[in-house]
Amino acid sequence: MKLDDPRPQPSTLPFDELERAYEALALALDAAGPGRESLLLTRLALVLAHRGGDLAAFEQALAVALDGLVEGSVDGSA
Amino acid sequence: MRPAGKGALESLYFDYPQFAAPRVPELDGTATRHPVLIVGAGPIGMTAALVLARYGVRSVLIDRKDTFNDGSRAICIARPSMHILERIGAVAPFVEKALGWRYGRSYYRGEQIFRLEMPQPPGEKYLPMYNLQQQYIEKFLHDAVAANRLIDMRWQSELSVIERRDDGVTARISSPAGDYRLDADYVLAADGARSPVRTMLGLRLKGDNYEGRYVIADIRMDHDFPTERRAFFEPAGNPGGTVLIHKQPDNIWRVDYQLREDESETDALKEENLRARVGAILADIGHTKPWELEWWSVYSANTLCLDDYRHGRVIFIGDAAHIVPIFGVRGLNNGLADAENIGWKLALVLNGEADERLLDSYSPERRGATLDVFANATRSTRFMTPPSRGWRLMRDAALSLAVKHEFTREFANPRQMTPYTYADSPLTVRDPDDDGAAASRGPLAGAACPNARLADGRHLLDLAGPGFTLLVVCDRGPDAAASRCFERLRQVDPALVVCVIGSTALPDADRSIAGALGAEQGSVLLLRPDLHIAGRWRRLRADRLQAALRQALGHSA
Repeated sequence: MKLDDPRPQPSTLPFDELERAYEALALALDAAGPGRESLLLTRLALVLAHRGGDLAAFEQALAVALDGLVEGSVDGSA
Repeated sequence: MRPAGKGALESLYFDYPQFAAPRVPELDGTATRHPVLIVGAGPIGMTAALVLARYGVRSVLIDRKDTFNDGSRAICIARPSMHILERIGAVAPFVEKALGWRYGRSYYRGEQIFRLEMPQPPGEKYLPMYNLQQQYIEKFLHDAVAANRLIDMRWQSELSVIERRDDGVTARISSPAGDYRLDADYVLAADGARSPVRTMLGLRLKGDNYEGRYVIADIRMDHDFPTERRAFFEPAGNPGGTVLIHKQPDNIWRVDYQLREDESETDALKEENLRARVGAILADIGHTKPWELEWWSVYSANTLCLDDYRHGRVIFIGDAAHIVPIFGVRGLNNGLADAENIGWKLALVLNGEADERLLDSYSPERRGATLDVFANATRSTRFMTPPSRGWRLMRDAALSLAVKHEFTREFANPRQMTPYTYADSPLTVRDPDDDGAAASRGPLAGAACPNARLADGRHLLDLAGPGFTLLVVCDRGPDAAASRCFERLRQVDPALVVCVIGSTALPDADRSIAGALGAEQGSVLLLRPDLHIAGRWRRLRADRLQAALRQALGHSA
């Protein structure tokens, strides 16, 4: 599977907004605390999948996130 | 700190001079009132003295030590600071000795994830950054101070009491030659992060402390790598912490490494532990040849500043006014900008060429620059030393994605120092005719003026005067009305320098000069002595220009 789609993606965030998302998520992680951060991130992913309304895009995003974290994931380079 | 068996100032490459306390006139009963007393002869205090001297203003410069600061400390000099050094006539040894650079690399677990490339517009005279140990910075400035008859340098002289009045300041100074009273019109406090003047005035820095600690170590080695900034996240040689490596002159390399949260600072600073860690970091970058340990220290990030940098006739500059994180190299560079900012203003006031109200603009302009640094530095500091588990997770996510994906690489950008725009300054004119703002091209009023290369090889900013400078874009040369306008302006500032871009004296055939300024035919820019743009107009209008010049000199309209 190709991870970086070369086609223009009109819905991606400009960097300054990505940075604000980064900051908001950092604060949310601290608010949830170590015991609940996994649940927070899983819930967040489900909400984004639902609101994104595009299963293929979600699966591709999931592959990008998983890539390199476990052996045998997408391109096997872990 | 230095290796066991070495003296406190026993360096591998630098001989610290020892300066005696001078016999001063005050000890012989000759009481002179001095225009300016500068407390602290570090880079900022010496620069302030040299800026004042550029305008013919005398100063007494005191320092309680008998030599320069120990260790390499602030090693990055940014382009705007090179221009300040040039204007005070001290830049030549810096150009000769310092290592210029504009590139950097960031790595995550050994893989390069970010290439830093600092802009180098074709008209610029200096590179974006130069590395030089602080001892050399102080030595080169001191050589200029010692050669300047307007600066009375007094080593081993410590301020013990300061008394402020509406019309001046009285200080008590202690030195091995004796204690004495010194009267001055103004005091510049350049006495550093732990400023005794600040304490004597009962003032406190306010802001935040960050917990992340970095050991900074200088070593000498033969190591073949260009002068670039290298940042290593999660390197094998320092698990759980970040490493920064910078090249300095004389084969000296700066290795900064972050301590893990559970590490004791006392243990980390022990020589054997330090040697083991630096050795592992060097092995990780492929350096297996011998190296020598020169000096080390420990650092944690702060964003602290005074509420007001001016307290009557006592004015704070450099670390005495603000402490900023090292990431982004803004401590020294912002301090130098403080020194120049207050230097030209105070000189024009003391010389009777500006209203004393001009000094009111120092704190808003330079504190504004500090707060801007805090906004940027807070982001880079949160990346370099994540303050909590949430920030740490975010950083690790961004870094690990950056190995294969472009979209998070920008998080690794160190956001190096850029000059601050005095957009909201009381000195900056925001004219409705302002063509830069209207067209969103070229620098705005308040910004540092860009440079441009001239047909004869010189640069545009070389032509600027010590006072105000008027840049006029005009292919046909000034007509009679323009000449009358220049005369009116010279009634406000007799030292005004007028540069007509496009004239035979200053040809601009390819329009590269006007282009750098974002200026159309007929446009006018008024530059301050520190080469920030006081205002810009699409047409030469004598009444508006005269009002802007008066405003920039602190006069009422």
